[in-house]
Amino acid sequence: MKVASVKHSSVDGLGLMLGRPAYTADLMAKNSLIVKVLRSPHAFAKIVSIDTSNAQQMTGVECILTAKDFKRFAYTRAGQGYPEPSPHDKFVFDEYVRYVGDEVCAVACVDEATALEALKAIKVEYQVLEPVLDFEAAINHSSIIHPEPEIHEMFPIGFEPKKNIAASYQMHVGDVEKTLTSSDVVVDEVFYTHAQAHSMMEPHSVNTRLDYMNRLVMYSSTQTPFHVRRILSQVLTFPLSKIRVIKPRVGGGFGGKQAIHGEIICSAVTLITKKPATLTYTRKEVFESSYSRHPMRLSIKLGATKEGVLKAIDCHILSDTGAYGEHALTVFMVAGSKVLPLYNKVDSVRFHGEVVYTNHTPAGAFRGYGAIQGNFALESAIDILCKKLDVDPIEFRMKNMIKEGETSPIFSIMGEGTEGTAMNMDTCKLPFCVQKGKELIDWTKTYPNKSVSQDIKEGVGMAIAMQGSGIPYIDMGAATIKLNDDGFFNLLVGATEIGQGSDTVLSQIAAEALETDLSNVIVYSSDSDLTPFDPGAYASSTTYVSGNAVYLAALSMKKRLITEAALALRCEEELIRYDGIGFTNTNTNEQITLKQLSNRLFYNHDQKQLMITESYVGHKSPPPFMAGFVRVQVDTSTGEVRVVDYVSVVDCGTTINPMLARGQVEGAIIQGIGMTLYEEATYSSQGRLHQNDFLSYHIPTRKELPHLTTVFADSYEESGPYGAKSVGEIGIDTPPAAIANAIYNACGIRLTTLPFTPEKVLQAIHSLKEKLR
Amino acid sequence: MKVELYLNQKKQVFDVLPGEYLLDTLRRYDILSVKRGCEQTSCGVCSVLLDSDMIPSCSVLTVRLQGRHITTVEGIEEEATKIAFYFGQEGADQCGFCNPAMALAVYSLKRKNPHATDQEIKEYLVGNLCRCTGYQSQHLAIKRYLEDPS
Amino acid sequence: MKINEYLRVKTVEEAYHQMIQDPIDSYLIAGGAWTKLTIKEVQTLIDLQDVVKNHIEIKGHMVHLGAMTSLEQIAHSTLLDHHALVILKRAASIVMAPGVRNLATIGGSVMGKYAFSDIIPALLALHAILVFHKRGNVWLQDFLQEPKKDPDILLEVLLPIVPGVGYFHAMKKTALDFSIISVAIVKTNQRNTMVIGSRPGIANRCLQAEQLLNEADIIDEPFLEEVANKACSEVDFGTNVRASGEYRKQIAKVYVLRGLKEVYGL
Repeated sequence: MKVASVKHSSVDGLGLMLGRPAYTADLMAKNSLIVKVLRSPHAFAKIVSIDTSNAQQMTGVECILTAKDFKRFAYTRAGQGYPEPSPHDKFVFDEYVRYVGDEVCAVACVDEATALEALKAIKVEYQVLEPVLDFEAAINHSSIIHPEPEIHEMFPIGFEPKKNIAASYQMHVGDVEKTLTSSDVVVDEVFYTHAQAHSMMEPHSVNTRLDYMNRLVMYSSTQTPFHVRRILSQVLTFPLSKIRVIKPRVGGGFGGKQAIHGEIICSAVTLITKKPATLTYTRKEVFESSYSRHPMRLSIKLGATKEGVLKAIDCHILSDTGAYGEHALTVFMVAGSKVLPLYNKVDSVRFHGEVVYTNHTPAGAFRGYGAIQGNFALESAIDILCKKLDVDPIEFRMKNMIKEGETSPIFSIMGEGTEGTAMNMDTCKLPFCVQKGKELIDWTKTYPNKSVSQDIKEGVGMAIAMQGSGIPYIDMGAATIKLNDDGFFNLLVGATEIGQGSDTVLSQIAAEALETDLSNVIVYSSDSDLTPFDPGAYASSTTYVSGNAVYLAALSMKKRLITEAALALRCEEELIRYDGIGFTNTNTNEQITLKQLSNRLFYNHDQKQLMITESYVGHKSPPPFMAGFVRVQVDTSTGEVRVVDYVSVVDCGTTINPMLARGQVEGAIIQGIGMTLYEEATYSSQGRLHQNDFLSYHIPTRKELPHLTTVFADSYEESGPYGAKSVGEIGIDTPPAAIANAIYNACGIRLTTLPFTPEKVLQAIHSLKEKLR
Repeated sequence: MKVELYLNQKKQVFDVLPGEYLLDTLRRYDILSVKRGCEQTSCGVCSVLLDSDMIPSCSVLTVRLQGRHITTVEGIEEEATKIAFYFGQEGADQCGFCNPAMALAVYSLKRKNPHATDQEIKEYLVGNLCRCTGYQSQHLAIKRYLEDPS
Repeated sequence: MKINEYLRVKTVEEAYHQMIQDPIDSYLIAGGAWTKLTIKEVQTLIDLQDVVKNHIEIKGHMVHLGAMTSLEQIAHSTLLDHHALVILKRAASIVMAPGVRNLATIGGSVMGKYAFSDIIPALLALHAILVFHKRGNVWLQDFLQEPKKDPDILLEVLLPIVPGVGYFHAMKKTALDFSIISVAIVKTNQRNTMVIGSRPGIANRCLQAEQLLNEADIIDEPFLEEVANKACSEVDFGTNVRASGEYRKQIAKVYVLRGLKEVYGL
């Protein structure tokens, strides 16, 4: 391969570094109205009245939007394919507010200062209700968070709002109770995860205007421009054909921009006032009023023989979706479907649980999407089991984990809110990943621990993980390739570049298939008027699903070029040899360059525009796999934990761009370490999120950066473009469990509640000392 | 109020309210390389150089800067191009939102401490947050830029 | 911020005059690093940048720090490479990041009386003296404890240069965190000073522990442990979102002991 599987600098890196206008807020119309949202100070309240009269009279206030301005229509902001597996439980504005930061009404003003004054001038009378702030007490709580009659599920997802249940699910293979009873050794543990915040650098931003065709044109920092267009049309009853959604450059998403945020309110302002408008979240709104990762309680039981054969996994999860049910069912299911198959040789497995409403900031999609929560619980429990069995955790995994050519019944049972898709692991290099990682972390030299000083203990730990590559039979991606005079190509994709490098990677796939240079492929992505459909950047789908579409489109284009070359060179197509630069009639050695052929097609003979669109929908979702190994140092006197080394050995099939693939893994590892050690979300007794800025919510800085080693297994997934699987999410899954296991190995404490703050670590060390005394 | 300052070496007059912060002034005058990330001095994407020192523009009142020199990435395009080259070489650019400020920070580091150690690089750039890359690729790129003799 | 009038004064007296005219709605601005977070609306903003010094010099046995000296200047000043003065450099160099430190001044750090300050514990341990426009010299320690006085303008911070060694440590979750606890210790031939900051209340000296140490004949590890215990029992620790009082007390003890061992070379 010449272009794919080769390290290429990003196609857009230079322009972005030079600060060229590229992001949503850079592209708003001059003199746009500034839209601000009035947000609830209460965790749960009924709005008795809203008095906007004072604000209405202020100079510079152009428009005030309340529930009265919208048709009452229950929808979901989740930003998924249609029909969504998330409950339709949201109204643009409602008579209830369900978390601190929930939307009450909105103003649009000539400038920000006026908008802030106008918000202050609006008087809202609330009837404060008792909030549900403990997710373990949500089911059948006396407060019903969603009493409204219009809300509904699109298909059965176990939606029981009267019990505060947004979704529920259960599945089993074999008789798990029976297997557990007959197991020699049983582990029974409960784990808690917390509401990590995406913390992308660019806040959510949207701007709108009406163009000269009287159509609504929107720039949005979204991961799902086509879903945004659809949902907007449904909620505002505005024709889909009159909406154009452009996703410009997005400053990071990580799942946080899969959902609808300000798009509907901003569009409504423009449709009512006919003026351009813009709405950019403050950092506080990003934390408090967008959404976070689902906190979960995961109860795990494992059963094994004394020889170290895993026999049963029983997993119950209670998940907190907060005030609205975006991604409630699917994140929860992925905690099973992309975790449990790791140990496919068990006799029985059960997965069940509920996703509950609370009066917290809603939860939604976030890189890892349930798999990180499930992985933390299962991979911690496996190490606990190994300790009980007194077997080496690496040997145990080598024996029990899924391998190439094998399958798991879970693949066909569990999908994304529906049934799944049966598949064999055509590529699974887990044994290599584990072996290589063990070597690179120098496991045997340290395992389980060594003393660095009197206070500081060093330990190593590991975990294995899997993810998916797109949602089979649901999410379709498409690509268009257009030939230009002079012989270069436009690649038009709906696929959504959000910083992960998809514009570069998809260009590489196109260039490889067209046998041309990367500079000959000009990529343009995510404009609902100009590019073909794509579900968006989520579910680790872009390289695999959209990449396959690009690959097919490029092959078709090459075929068409050969047809045209055969016409130009007056021979059968079979006689044409194409070398990326030109075409040769192998009978006559007569040649025509791609440039000449293109110019001929545009200006001289057989004139036509070559433009080809292909689409792809997955028939399976081949999981990428990885083994994560970590070396930590624990200060046993203060509880401070430092990650020293993190080794990732990843099987993501072919890396289309090894450098960008490494970037995906490294970035995800650091996010995973952040979730494990530094990032914390806590609520006041009134339900206010404590950490709503970067002064209190601590994402890792470069001073916390450990040494990262990232290695890719030699792997080729036949169904992927040039052998690729996905790599966007897999990196985030292992840090919580690997670090928990390493801390255990370092100093004997087993942490089961994220994050592992120094205070919690020290507390556990003290309790252990008490116990040993 | 009228404030006259040197933006990227060119004298320019800005008409501001006394309470306006430099970030808002610059963006209002179409200097869009300066990004809005947190507005609380804590993310670094709004960094500019004040004379030769890096500062968060979100927290400096424009009115106080009469006569001072402000540099944004538009003013160091040649150096930023070099920095972008090394970032590209190491796969260190992802969403790019933090990159214009990162370029300024790296450029000013090279002028202040061209032989910065690993630790000094991290110290100097600690306020330039990045949520995408995990920092290691950036770190390698920055080292290569510092070593670049040109 | 909403500012009705911006005044860039030419003399300290001008600033002082303006401030006493309208002490409620006037606001002095030095570096301004935290004004955005603390002030939303002000009638008159008085800018001190032209009238208060922003450099460090040594005069006799004193280091003079102009109140407008930035924390980044302090973090890199070679004039502070002597004796225990290095703890001020260390404290300054871990306040957020260089960008903020280029704005934040020593004067602002003192006048804000911020409980989370890393600068105040270091200055307290170094027996800093504040030089005000009207009141003249005031010990930092007295300034921190006194009730709110009439408006005045801080001009300089003085640090006595005394041979000795120092220790400073601030525990943070990440480099951009505020300290969960900070410990500053200075040992000179005459006396020892120990300060615990971010308790989360404002920094306190541990006077009884200092006395124990000052009166000791033999200093060994068990004794230092006793001193550390004393230090942590005589100051209060409280709970906030960042950590519990109990945890703060535990780690304060650890870091006080580590500091004592370091300054005593044990």
